[in-house]
Formats: sequence, C-alpha cells, structure tokens
Amino acid sequence: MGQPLRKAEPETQSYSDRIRELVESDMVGGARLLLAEALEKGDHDEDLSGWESVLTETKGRPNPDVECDFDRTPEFRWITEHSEAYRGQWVALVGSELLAHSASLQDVFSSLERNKPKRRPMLHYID
Amino acid sequence: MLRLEQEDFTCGRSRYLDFLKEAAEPTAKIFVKISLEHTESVFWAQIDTGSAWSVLDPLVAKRHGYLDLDGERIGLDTRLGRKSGILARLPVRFLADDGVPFDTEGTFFICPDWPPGRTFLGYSGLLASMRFALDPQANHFYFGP
Repeated sequence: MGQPLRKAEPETQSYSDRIRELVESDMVGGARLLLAEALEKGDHDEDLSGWESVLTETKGRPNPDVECDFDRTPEFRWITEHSEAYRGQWVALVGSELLAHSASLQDVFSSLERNKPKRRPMLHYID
Repeated sequence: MLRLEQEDFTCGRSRYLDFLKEAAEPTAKIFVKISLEHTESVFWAQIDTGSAWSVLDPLVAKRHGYLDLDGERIGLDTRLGRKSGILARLPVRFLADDGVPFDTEGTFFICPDWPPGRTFLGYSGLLASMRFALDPQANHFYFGP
C-alpha cells in the first residue's frame, strides 16, 4: 500500500536567516544558490543586498599603475631579532630601519604621516 | 609571470614568509604581502585555504573605520571559540615584487574581539576567485585574475 502523500511544510524562515545559517556552517555554495533563488523569485520583502555584496565573487584585475614592492627579508630578519623588545607593539619598518613603533596602530600611522617614508613601510604587530 | 599554453596564468609574484617567530603558532604557514584600501602600507596576511572567510585584524579594521560598517552580522566557530562579527566586502591588493600587482575584493569577517596581529585570507570569499600558485623552493607566491 502506498504511503499517504505528505503535504510539504511551508518555509517559515526568511531567506536572510536561511542564508545566514548556511554561511555560518561554511556552506558558501549553498548560500549562493539560495540567494540566487531568492533574487530570481523576487516575491519577498527582504533586502538581500548585503548578502549579494558579500557572496558575490569578484574578478580582480592587474594594476600596472602601482609600483612594485621589494624583498622584505630585511624586515623579517629585524622582527626575528627584535621581537622580544617590541612585544605587544606595532612596528613600521623599511628594510632594517624602524620608522615607528607603538601599542597603538593609530599612533604609528600618525608618525608615518608626519615623517613620510620614501618607500612603502611594512606594518607588523608583534604578538 | 607564469604562463600556461601561451596565455598568462598569473600577473605577479611576491616573496612569502613561511615562518614568523613570534606568531601564536610558530609552525610553517604562508604569509603574503597585501595592502588594504590601496594604502601605502604593507601587512603580512596568512593564507588559509581551510577557511571560507578571510579575517581582518581588528586594529587594522578600526584604523580603516571598518568596525562601524553595516555588514551582515554572523557568528562563526573558530579555533578561538565562537565569535560574533560582520561580513563585509573589502578591497585587497596583492603587492608584487615582480610583474604587476593585483587588485581585487574579498569578503572579510570583522570581529572586534579577534586577537590583534592576525589577518587571514580565506578561500570562498577571496582565494577561490583568483589564481594563485606557490614555489616553495624559492618562497614565491604567484597571483593573478
């Protein structure tokens, strides 16, 4: 004897909540599919633009207008040698030259704005 | 840069670190150079292909005003426990030592009580939409569209 047909339960959760559940479970593909379904149906009152923004895949582009960086081995070496003395601080380095250091990242940026370095500084927090 | 069947595969490369002495877990990791908001400052960020989302250092987020962004609020289970924050789309630049830098956007989890000094680049919201390759003998990170 056949099973009686069970009526499908109506979905009570909003699209936004369902997408959030998927995102929180790292099911990004599922979240994108559900978002696409919601946008295609369009018969709901939810603003899904926030989810559209964070779930959309962006195609980046090469930017030839930006100057190349350089080998940061000297910065790495400096951090390795001096980490004990600057623990809990941000340091700004160009090569083995320490440009600024502070527990406050804002203070480091302020210092760099006052004394603009000739080359792009490496900022690093010493844990 | 890297070419595959006569076509460009990546546009730039940079030298990566595979060890930071003072990092919380001083085991082999891959730290690449990025800048945010295309500013003139460079940070090391750890590649984390096992994570769906990138995570931004909260002090860097504060500096750029990202803590006040109106993103999608979520909770995530991390190795530091359950964390609450927002997801937001941010511009990221991969700086090149050779070739051409690469500008893109990534979805970052921004959480005020995430430990400072730790920025991660995750898979689904960033790395999955670009090309990247490693040369572990030379510590070169190749990247491109």
